[in-house]
Amino acid sequence: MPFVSINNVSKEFESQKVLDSVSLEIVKGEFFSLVGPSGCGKTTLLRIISGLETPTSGKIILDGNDITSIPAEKRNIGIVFQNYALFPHMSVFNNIAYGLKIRKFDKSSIKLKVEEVLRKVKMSHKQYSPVTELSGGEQQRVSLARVIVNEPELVLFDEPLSNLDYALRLETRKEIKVLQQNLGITSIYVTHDQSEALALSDRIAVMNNGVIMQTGKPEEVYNNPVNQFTAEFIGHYNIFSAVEFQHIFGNKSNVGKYYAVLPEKIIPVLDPEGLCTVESVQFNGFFLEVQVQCNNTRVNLLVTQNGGQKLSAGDRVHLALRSNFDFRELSE
Amino acid sequence: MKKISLPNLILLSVILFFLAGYVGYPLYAIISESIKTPDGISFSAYSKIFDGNVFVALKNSLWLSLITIAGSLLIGLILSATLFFLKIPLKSFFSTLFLIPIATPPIVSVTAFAYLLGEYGLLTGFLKKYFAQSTNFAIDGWPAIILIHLYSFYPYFFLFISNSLKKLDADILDASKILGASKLTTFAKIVIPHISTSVISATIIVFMASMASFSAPFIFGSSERFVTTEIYSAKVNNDYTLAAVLAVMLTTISVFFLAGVRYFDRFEKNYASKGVTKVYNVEMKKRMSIPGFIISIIISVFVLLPVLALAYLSFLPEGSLMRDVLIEKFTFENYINMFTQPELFSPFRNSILMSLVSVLMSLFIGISVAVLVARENIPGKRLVEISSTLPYAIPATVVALAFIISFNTPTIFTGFNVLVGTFWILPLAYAVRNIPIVTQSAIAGMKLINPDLESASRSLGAGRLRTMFKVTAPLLLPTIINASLLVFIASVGEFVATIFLYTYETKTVSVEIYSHMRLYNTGTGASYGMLLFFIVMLIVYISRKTIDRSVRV
Repeated sequence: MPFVSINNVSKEFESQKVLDSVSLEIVKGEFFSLVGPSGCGKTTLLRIISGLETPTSGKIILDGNDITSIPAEKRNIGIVFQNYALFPHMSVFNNIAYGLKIRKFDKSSIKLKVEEVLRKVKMSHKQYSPVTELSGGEQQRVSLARVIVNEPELVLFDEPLSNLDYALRLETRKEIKVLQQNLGITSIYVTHDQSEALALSDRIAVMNNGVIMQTGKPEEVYNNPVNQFTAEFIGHYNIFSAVEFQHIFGNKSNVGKYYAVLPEKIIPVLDPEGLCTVESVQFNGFFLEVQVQCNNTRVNLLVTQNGGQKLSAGDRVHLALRSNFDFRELSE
Repeated sequence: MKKISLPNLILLSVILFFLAGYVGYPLYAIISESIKTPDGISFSAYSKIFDGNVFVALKNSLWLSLITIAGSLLIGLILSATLFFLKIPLKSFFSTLFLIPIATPPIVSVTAFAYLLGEYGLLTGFLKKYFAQSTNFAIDGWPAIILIHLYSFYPYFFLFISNSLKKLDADILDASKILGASKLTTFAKIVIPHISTSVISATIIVFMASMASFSAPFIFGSSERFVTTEIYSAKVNNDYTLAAVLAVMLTTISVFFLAGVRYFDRFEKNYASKGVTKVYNVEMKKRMSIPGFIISIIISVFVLLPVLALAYLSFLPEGSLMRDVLIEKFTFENYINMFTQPELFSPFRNSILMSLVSVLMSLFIGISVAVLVARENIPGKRLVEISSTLPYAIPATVVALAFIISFNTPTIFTGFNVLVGTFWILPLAYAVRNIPIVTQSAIAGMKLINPDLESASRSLGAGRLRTMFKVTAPLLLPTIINASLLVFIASVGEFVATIFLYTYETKTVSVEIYSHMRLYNTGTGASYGMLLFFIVMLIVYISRKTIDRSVRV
């Protein structure tokens, strides 16, 4: 039985549909990500699960109980906010103790719990600092501690890393994953960064325009996108129409309307008679990012440096698939 | 020793000369007046503070201020919370309307209340005629003064708390809710601490303004003693020593609290949270709040009724006795006369001219101080900044009294002229009081301008002067215009210093409003009041447009 069920949830703001009968099931202990571009409805869905918004229709079931009409403050669900949302007039300790005080724990157990959670997020040395004096990364740890100290049944993450710089983002994301696994807390994580979702999650759901496009394990979604949107958003797939695909690769397949190919699965071969022209080559460390133009179709390639042939702008090439099965057929 | 360039040195000297002459010297004069006795210097006059009358006045002023603070805080808090958290129709209309009293010159508000609820007030007459003929509804003394104070001062709390609430991060309220807090807990533990610094700042400002308030006690408190009115009567009785003692006492209290404001301003800056503040609609209820709407309507009526009474009576023919609450004959005569009869026009001309002069003076000093303080590294920078902020804490009664004591003899600062009795003493008094407005907003404006813009201009080959005129000045212009308008508003309806300093030739509209009210020339008094009201509202409108435009830049 799923731990969280989202049943046909729809949400309209001033007659505009933000969520269109969304249904999801999340099992206990799972790390589940909602990924999609900004405005796709993922944050609204998160707010509905937390109780900060009410759905226009549909139900939220948590551990077998319908919680749709229970107010946010009565659900035992935590949120880690994008801008941390720490109370600026309180110390680290008092921020974390806030929920415990409301739940009327006695002073000594509050102290014990806060100290324990501070050790978990490695912030013990900052226990009495005002939160306004912390760095962004430290604020995010406190924000996480403030949530998990209440032992919530479910933790929601609303793009928690987007205000951090790149290096810190990678580091914090590892720590979140380790902490989540150790505590076994069921988590729903919202992000627009597909690599973050792929790296962290047990399963992901891709959202666009208030609709779930695809749900599955990260590698499933990455390798087997079922529609154009998922292919482009998650894997940066190149999308070809049936005609283009045949023209460029010469493959004969009549099943799909569209064909999706990952940039790293295409090999450019220098060929004066080739159909395509190299437009630009960008050095990107491990890969070269190559853009080629084939009769008004732009194709993006990722080529390893030791691929042998040196490419530069203006070269004529033809394209080949790494293997005959390196494409996906899409019906829409 | 820091180096200082010649132009800066000249500018600094001019500023110091002005501040020494028109802030420092008058303050010195008033202090020396208070300790001067025929037998040399003595503090004996200060023992009068504990005399019956003075002590009563001090006690009354303090009580009045405390009651004013408590009442205005309550109204301001309820209104700002209503407009912020509840869903009510006409929200932006209400939030503008609630601020009307802050811009209305005190003498206009006081007169309007007299015409509404005074002995011959419109509402008084109306209630008497239609409800209970034997009861007297007219208000006077304490209730009248408190009512007018609430009217004039609740907008400070409303404004400060509203601005503070607008900075409240919606996610923080959500976080509190998610952690299990009820609405009441969130309000007590999150919202109240968030607005506390702005409440304290507003409290201090209202305390200072209320202690220094003159118009309401002067007109409604004939049987009660207050510090400001005692200063006036001591001056009228030629007891300058007593007046000076009272003035020093009042100023000391005020300066002490000004220091408090500056302390809390600094405190508030430290609160600004990192990260992006997400400010969206935090209306807690989805449905319209009927109690919220009713409260808003009641306060709107409270704000508008006195003004409406004033407007109504401005159409009353001169010499009409108003035996009935209904005007028998409406007339535009009063308005026409103001502009056609030289005797009635000259106060209007005086008010406008004096306000313009005071705007120019305070602009010159204020901007010069701001330029030196914000951009240049000169010796004595703090001293210049503090002494140009100080006049904010000196009540108008004190400025006026100090000017009379200082400038009834020729001084070096006045080019060896006697200023008392001239036209110039009035705009000078207004300017001194308003320099802090210009200084503070110009410094704030300068700090908002990214210094990189000036560097960019310099690196593109523009010289210092060119950069100043082509980059800095245009960016600063909206701030300057806005500060000028504020100074103009404060000057054009100024009554307190004026009543000390005016002569027959230099009568202003505010003095005319007062004297026509005292002479029961209701129509003329009311139309002068409406004229001031219109001028002030027009300027507020222009100033809002300026801000709107500058935001787009």
